Amino acid sequence: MTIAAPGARVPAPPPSRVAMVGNPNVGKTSLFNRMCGVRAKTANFAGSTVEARVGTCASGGAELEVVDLPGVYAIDLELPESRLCRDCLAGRLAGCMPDALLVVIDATNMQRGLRLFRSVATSGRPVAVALTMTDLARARGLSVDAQRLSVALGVPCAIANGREGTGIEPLVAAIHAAREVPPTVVAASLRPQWSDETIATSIGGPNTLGTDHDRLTDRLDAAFTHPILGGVVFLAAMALMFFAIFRLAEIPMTLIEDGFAWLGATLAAALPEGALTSLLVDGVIGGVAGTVVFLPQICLLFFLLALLEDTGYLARAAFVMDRIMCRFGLPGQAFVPLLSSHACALPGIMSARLIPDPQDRLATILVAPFMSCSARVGVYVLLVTLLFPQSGLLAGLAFAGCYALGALAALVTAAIFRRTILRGKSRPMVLELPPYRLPDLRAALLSTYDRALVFLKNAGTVILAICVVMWWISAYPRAETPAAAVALEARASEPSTAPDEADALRAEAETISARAQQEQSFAGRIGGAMQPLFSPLGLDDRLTVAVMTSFLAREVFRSTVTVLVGQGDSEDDAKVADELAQATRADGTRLFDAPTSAGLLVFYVLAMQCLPTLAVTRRETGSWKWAALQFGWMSAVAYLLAWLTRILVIALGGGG
Amino acid sequence: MAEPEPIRLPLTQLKRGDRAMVAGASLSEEDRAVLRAMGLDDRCTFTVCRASSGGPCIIQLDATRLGLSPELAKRILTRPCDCPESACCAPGEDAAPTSGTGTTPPPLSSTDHHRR
Repeated sequence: MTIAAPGARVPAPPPSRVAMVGNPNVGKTSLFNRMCGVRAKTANFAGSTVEARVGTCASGGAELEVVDLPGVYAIDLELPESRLCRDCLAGRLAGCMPDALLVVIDATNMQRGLRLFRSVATSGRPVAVALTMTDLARARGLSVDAQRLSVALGVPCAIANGREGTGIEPLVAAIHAAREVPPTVVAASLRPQWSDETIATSIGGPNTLGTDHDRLTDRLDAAFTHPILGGVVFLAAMALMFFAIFRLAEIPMTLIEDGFAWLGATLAAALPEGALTSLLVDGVIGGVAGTVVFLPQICLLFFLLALLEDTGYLARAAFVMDRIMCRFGLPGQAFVPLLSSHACALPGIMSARLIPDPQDRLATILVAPFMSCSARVGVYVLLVTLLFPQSGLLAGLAFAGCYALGALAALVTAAIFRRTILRGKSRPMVLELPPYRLPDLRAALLSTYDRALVFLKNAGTVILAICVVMWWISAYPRAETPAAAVALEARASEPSTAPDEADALRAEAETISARAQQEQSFAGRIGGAMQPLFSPLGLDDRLTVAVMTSFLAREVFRSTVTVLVGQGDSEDDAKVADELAQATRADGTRLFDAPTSAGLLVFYVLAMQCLPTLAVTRRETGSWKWAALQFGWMSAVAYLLAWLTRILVIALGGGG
Repeated sequence: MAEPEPIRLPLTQLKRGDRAMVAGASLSEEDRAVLRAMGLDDRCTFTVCRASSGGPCIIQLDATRLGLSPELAKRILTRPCDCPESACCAPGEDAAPTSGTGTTPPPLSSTDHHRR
């Protein structure tokens, strides 16, 4: 490894904070990961939707804070990542004033790297250069001389490989050796032939400008970007990825559920019965468990996405999907977040960071919750069974139709938003297609760790607060135990009652008490007050309460409706559906008739009923305004289409 | 007598394996700046790896592969050239004559004219 610090400059203390600047796909993040390891965190800066990572590097004796800025093609572009770099270089980012800059240059693409160096060097801050991809350059017959490059640029240069972890210490030494770039070098770099001369002096070989021919890449690109074959490969890759996510996440998800259940039970047994215990067990533990249970799926999703991105495939996939997505005003990259939202909207929205254009990213975030997430599955199963109790085929088709309806609503909404509130020109679809290579496992793991921390932090702050508030409106004011429940408990406690019968009586008493609590609570009262709004959908006050509580998290619909309408929750779907099918309204008509069930199913497909998703939308968009729009739009669309569905089913003779 | 204007084709009309150089673009200054920053600059030469045929196209620019949407590609005008890979095309060289007329789209770059 070569380091050179040409010429003695004005003495200055070694830098304690360095900002890394480089073109995309030059191996900058791999270098950062090698330098900082797990001692890094994602940093969001006020007023910016782009994030940087900040870490500490202990190599080379002194501690060095490293800021990994997003990859940019130029710092003077009117793009969020370029603005962030400009602000950082100008010292306008709070808490992120770099003492030195590290320009990372791909040795196989010196021309572009030098152009960036030239604009960065004019900032007047000390600069060092990291040369990456030198192994690839050598494989192409190029010889790289960091010493000569260092002399030509007038700043310390070092060759480093983040994937293999080589050259890190010399690189840190080069950063410490960095001094202010003298004006002569900056002036020289403005000459038209400067970059050509610099390349000529530091890069040698038969083809000093790289190679245009890579037959394997040609063949792979021909397959992966083919209109039909490319689509098939993409669908297969995504199917495999989601199969892995659902299958592999099953075990850790069960463990997390069991762990929280054990914790709740242990606390409930150890603490005296009362409001505090209820808050801890039902509010905090129950609420956080409902979100954290998705952590394995989120980790797997981001890990597999990182691997796919690192192989170079994801850029090709985005390209293939762009043909379809652009018709709806979305870029090809939006397909991954939308598909991810089928597992859970939270990682789906978070993965929208893959999308470079802010308008495209915003549109994707706003429509992602339309995709049917796994929390909806239980509600779909219940309502589809109620709708088609005799026909498995129709039930299956209706179930698949829910997924199709959600996806269609997402695409149509995106098209509407892009033509109205998000009107404006998207960034032209021009993507750099990085070379195919084996993925970097270490980088993928670190990226997953980082995402998991962000998710857990969110679950431990905003989502926890929401859970506590929701627990309170469901638990208060406390209802007195109904006389019927007291009588049943008394009967169960009689010595003459058989143990099985006593258990059944206690379960019935619990259901009656829970029903009374649901009706008396603030949530229940809100539901009662909202009933006139939902009566066009055929909902009585009990179903209205069930729908209203679902706005906290849609998966509670089943437990709420079985408590309010049925005989309490059960694992057996058919039994629950049978009980609910018998339920009647005050006028004696069936509660779950075909128009109501169909309308309710459409409502649950389309409605925004997940407060954690709204919290993540706010976080990712930086404003409650967009979360409010998402909630309002989805709720309005859900209501309108549910009502139309009910009318249509009645018109088709489905009863009502 | 004025020399005939060199032939210029939208990038979408090039075939796989064709070599060409950029001869202008009907794009906003902002979009042109993005392309310039990515290396797709005036008179830079590239090879078509995947022809558009209504869909996106892929070009090889030195060691970089760029994918371009058809909407973008059709706005980039090119001049086919026979120069070897990675060579410089001086203005006018390797260009066949044309009878084409019409408005001249602005170059990608108006200030920085150094090319390889």
